[in-house]
Amino acid sequence: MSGMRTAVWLGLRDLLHDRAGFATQVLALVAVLVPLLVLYSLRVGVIGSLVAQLSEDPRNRQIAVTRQGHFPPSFFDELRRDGRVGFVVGHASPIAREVAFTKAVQGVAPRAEGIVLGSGPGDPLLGRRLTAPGRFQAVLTRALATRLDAAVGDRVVLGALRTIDGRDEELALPLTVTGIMDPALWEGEGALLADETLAAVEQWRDGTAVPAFGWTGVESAVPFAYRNFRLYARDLPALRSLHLELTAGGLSVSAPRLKEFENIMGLNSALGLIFGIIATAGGIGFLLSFGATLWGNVERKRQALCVLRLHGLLRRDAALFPVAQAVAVVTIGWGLAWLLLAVAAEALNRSLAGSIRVDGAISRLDPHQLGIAFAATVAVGLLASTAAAWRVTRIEPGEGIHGL
Amino acid sequence: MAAPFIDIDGLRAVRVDKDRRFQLSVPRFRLSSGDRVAIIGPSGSGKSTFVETVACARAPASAVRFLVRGRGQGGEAGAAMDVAEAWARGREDALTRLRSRTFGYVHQAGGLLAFLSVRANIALTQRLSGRSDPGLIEELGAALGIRALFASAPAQLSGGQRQRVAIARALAHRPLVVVADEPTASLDRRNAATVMRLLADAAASAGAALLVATHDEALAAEFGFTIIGMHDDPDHDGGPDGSPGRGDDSVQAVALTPFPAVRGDR
Repeated sequence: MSGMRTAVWLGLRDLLHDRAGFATQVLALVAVLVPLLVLYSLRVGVIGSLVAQLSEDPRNRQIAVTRQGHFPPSFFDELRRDGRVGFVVGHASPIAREVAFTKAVQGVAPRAEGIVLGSGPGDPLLGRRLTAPGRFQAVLTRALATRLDAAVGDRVVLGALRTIDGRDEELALPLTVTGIMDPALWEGEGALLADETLAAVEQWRDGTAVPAFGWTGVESAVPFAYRNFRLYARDLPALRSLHLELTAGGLSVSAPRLKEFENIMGLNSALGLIFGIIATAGGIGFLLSFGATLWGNVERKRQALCVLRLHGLLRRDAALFPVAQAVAVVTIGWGLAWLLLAVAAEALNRSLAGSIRVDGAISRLDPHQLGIAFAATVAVGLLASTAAAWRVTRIEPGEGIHGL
Repeated sequence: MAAPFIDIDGLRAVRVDKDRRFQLSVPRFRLSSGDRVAIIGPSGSGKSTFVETVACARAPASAVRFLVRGRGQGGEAGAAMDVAEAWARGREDALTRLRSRTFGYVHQAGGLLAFLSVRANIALTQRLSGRSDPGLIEELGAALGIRALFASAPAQLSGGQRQRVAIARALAHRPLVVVADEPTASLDRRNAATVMRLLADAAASAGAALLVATHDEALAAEFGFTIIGMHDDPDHDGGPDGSPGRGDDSVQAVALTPFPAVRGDR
């Protein structure tokens, strides 16, 4: 261990002594690294921002059913266990979703028709600040709340009609308003109800008894099933695979924004390929030039290394002499390149902010991406030092006595 | 009588350079505490090959006996190592540790590391042998008159100053044997005498044996060295490994003949 420390110390002392050579090696690395890092940061920034923009609006991650089906609760339980699914809830048929709302007040009460959707914890339509409605609660859209002149805490009555044996029946379900939705997420007139409430309303309209709500009707011979559903993928990559899987399962579904996402991913792949080619060429060039520099340095320091071997530096420890120098050059070069990247990114973000519309910085690298870039640079540096290290191990101590 | 630090019988070393093959025979050689031995011979006579081999920096071709009594890890006198066997078995780390703890080396032009200060150069042997002793560095600096140069770089030193630093470095880890190859070859006569005196006195003060290869027999004699001459061996018939014998112009067979003073110890 002591010999290893000594070899590292000697390698670093030699590097500091030969300041001009040290600076040249660092600058050569910086010259390769900075353009690569800037290119990489642009790719990450532009593509990342476009993907983030798409992901932020939950409607872009939605998969809609284009033909009604028969979806029992077990179908949804299975989907909710899938890690790719962000949120899923059953739907009533489009006609059954249309109901009337009346504000529960004395006198002439405001009335409006709207659409009801099932909801639950994690529903993207609730945004970040609203909680899912309970059994006798509703979250209204801004448009419906305005029409009803309703606010949080007010009571509204959901009204629906059904005809059984030629006789019309009316449902009046009182609900407490627990939230008003962000119009950016749903701008029409409608409300979110608890999943079970929506299911109960739909069963009532079908003439089925709903004992949990005290509603009478015929006893259903078949278990309840939704005809439709609303599904959001956890992220855009998951949207693609979910869409493929559901389609392969025979469901008629569509993901309206999938094509746009796939275009961005195609652009990302193309940029990745271009970046990969440039990075590989730059990496190989640096590997060869840095390797040759380290080898040449060992040849220039051959007499000093002979003396060290003669005086007791083990062969394997001596090999660390160029390795320590390589790591030092790479670390300092990378640090300098990182500083220059920060300056370049700031300049790019300022100058391109008006011409490219993306969310977030146009040029940016996250800490883990910087970490990967640093690790890759160190790996190339270590690889470049292997030939020089091997050369050091070929130096014999006997060469160090005579003529030095 | 104490066992010698170096005990050699029937050693043969072969050196192959670009255009010639060279063989060295050492019938007997002993070096004990306090010995001061000079290997004398013209350039190309095999002095360096002898010194490198004895100093465990070059593998011998063969040896009947090649023992070196080195220092242990704590600096105490250790058991004798069979150096020929260690080379044969590829125990290179053991040989390297033997060199770092037992030998000190003085090079022809100092052999100082340009990227270390004078003080760091002197401390190098302590660092490599794991025996830190800052006090001894100060003592050697004062004794050799280089204390004021400790912060200097080797490039700032004269030839004589470099040799004084090299002597300090060779003794800083308290070696049992100091090996010097042409330590005065790059100096003028006056400086050569000064350096030889410092080397001999410092080694004597440290109780180290001194083995010097030099072409300056008069200087060696002046400082009381036992002289061993290198010479061609006309009776050499080639070695047991099939090396070329008499009549092959590419071979210079050399035998080392100990002077009576050395041989008398055997």
